[in-house]
Amino acid sequence: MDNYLVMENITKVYDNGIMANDHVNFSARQGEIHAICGENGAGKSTLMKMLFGIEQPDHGQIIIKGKPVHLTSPTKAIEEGIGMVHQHFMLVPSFTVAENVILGIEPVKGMKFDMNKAIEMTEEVCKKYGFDINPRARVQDITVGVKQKVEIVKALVKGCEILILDEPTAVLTPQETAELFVQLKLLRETGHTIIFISHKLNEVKELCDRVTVIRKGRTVGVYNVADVTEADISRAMVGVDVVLEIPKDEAKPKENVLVVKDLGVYNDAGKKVVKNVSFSVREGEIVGIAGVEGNGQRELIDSIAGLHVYSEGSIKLLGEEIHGKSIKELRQLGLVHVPEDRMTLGIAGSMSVKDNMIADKLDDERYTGKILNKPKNIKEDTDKWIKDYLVLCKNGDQQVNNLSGGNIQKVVVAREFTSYNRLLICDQPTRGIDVGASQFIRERLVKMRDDGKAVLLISADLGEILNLSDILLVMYGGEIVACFKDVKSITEEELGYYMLGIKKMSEEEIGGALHA
Amino acid sequence: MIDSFVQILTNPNFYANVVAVTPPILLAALGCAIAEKSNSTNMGMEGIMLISSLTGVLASYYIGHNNPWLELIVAIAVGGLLGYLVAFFALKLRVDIILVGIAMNLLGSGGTAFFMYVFTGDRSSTNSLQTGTLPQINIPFLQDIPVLGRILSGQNILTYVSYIMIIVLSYLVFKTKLGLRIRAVGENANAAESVGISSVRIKTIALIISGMLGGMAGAFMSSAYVSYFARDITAGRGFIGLAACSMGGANPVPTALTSILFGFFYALSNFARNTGISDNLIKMWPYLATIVGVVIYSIKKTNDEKKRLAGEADEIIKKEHRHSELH
Repeated sequence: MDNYLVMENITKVYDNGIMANDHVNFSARQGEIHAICGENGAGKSTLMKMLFGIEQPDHGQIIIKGKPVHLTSPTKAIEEGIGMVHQHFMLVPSFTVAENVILGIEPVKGMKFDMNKAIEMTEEVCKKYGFDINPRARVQDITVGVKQKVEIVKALVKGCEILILDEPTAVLTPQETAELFVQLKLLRETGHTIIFISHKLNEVKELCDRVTVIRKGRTVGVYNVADVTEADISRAMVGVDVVLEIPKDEAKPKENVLVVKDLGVYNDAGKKVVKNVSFSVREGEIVGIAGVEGNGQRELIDSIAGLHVYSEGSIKLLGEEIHGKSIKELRQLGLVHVPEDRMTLGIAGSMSVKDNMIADKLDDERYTGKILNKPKNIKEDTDKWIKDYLVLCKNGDQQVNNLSGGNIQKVVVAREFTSYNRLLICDQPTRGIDVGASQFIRERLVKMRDDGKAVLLISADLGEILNLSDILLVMYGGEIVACFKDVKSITEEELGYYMLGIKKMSEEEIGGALHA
Repeated sequence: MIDSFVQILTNPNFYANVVAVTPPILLAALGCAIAEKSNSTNMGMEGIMLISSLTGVLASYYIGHNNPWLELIVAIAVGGLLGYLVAFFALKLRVDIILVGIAMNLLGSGGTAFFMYVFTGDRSSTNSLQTGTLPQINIPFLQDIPVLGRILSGQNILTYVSYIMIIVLSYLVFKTKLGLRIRAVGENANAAESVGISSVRIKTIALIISGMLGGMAGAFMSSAYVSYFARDITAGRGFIGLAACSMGGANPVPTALTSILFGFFYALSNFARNTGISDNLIKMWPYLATIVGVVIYSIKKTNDEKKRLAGEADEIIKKEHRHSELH
């Protein structure tokens, strides 16, 4: 049955104007494991949110077993036989497995919640589908792998026929992953349809029957997994975009500014996410870091920027170890940071453009006396920066919140670039902003480089990172897997292999990222 | 002075007084606990008690022929309504729930004083509206047991009801479907929402129950403790209940035990009048006990948290070691 589940011409535009899905078509058969692949921001999650009733499409329709359905809430989706295992578990830690499983459909005996029946229901589903879980165990005491099984049982007990798994293996060990796959194949045999969202292509190849590739909110194609190679899928995912090249001269790197050596970082859940990373950034060069999101870049950058504590190895900024230094001390050393999440970390939204630009310079005698600020100097300089950085606003007193995304980013860039700086960390500096502003920020970055600053650039935009970087590192699984010194000669396709962990350079080549 | 304290502590009447003064604190604390279980702090307990108490007295006098039972029912209903009001402002209109509580307390204190004056022309109490008290109950057999009979028998009926509420609340929270949902919403609202449980609805129900318990506590003040309403008659019992709930971890039984401890200090302040200690100092005891209790509780909780985190860190390190040994 090819039209078991059909999502037809689905279009979704978010309030902020981002078009997450642009006439996406997706269909799944009964009893198949169907992968959805795409880079971060490609629109996979949005599509699945609409299938589970969390978001509603602006256009298009969802048809299940030939019948059009309106999924206005998760409850509706559950009624239609759709279940979802979220990336972040939706479990109550102090409850037992059985209590979590039956939450929402609690059996009762008179006035009392029927615990025995709950355990019975849980055991029944576990037995039927071969899950080995103790229904009486408390969720806070069980491992991540078991928690995931609980989530699947939770969906099955409500009679789910279509199961969505959002990057289920991201939190699992290889053994747990193998076990999960056995179970999913069992579910396929019992006629369940499984939608498997992932960007781990080896897993897709191992587990799935078909794969739908989505890129930039559009369906690129549907393939039988048996007919395509991992390389084919990765090529479809990455695609080739045309970007306006920023003209730049050969870099003339000088002394080391940032030296990262044998760095190891654990995330908040205690998992080691950065492993043995070494590289350096010199004056007058742009070092780019590419990689699929969730491969340790976040923690690496946060560690360098002083936002995350690292436990192994060293990070030296201008020869000084930064461990234990406050962000203020780091900034005094010359570190500036254009953060990825500009709305939370980059600006104070309800404050004015002027206040945001001056916020980090209030120790400067030019702007503050012993007690009072010096409004004349502040206004003079911020007005100049507004002009220099082409910030479109009425005047410096306008609230930052009222500006467009691109102009907000220019405010952040203006503040950071006008501070004392030796090392610039730019994290997704042009994500989600218009072409003009992107172009302007890229030109600025090159200009800073030519002025002898060290620039560390992280970007999901491959065109951008290939254009700007003088040295390009690729991260996969928390490690640096590639170091390109001749960025011009790399093709996007080749870069894709490294980003998806299909290829890895030799230790020696990777070691070239660190300049003694 | 030590002698007089020994005298107090060996006097059965003292313990009877502990039993008799605990209920309003207990009911307030249980009310705060059920709300807290759904992760909504019912800061406005004191105000809810005051408003429902006065409304009960007025209803009883003007339409109920001074019937204290009607007073109790009206107070509970008004309490429930006020609980709903807190939910409406905090959950529907998204006002910070603590601010809603503070507003409720200010309204309770000022509003009851105002309306009491409007209805009775008296600024301090509704002494002119005598609405009577609920009956006292002598328990057969128990009343004949020496000492214990004197302590436990012959209390106001609402006193017994309030102690029964400990069991009722425990059952509700831990044994019913609603209790399960309240705890689920309180601990991980996303998890509850993802299976189609509306957290707003569940929290609203919890706050209504919380308000009803507050109403019962208010009625206790004016139909069991005394037979009239007086300005700020609750004298901070709603806040003490809030403290007891926090120290009891919002679980009914520990919350109740903490309430009884605070009741103990209330009774002590009642009996210590003849010990020669300044009256003003004595009146302070229940409140002092609350502050000391909360401080001790916070220190203990912080230490436990530290220990737990240290334990978790050890676990992670151990795990890593095991992991590296495998490879």
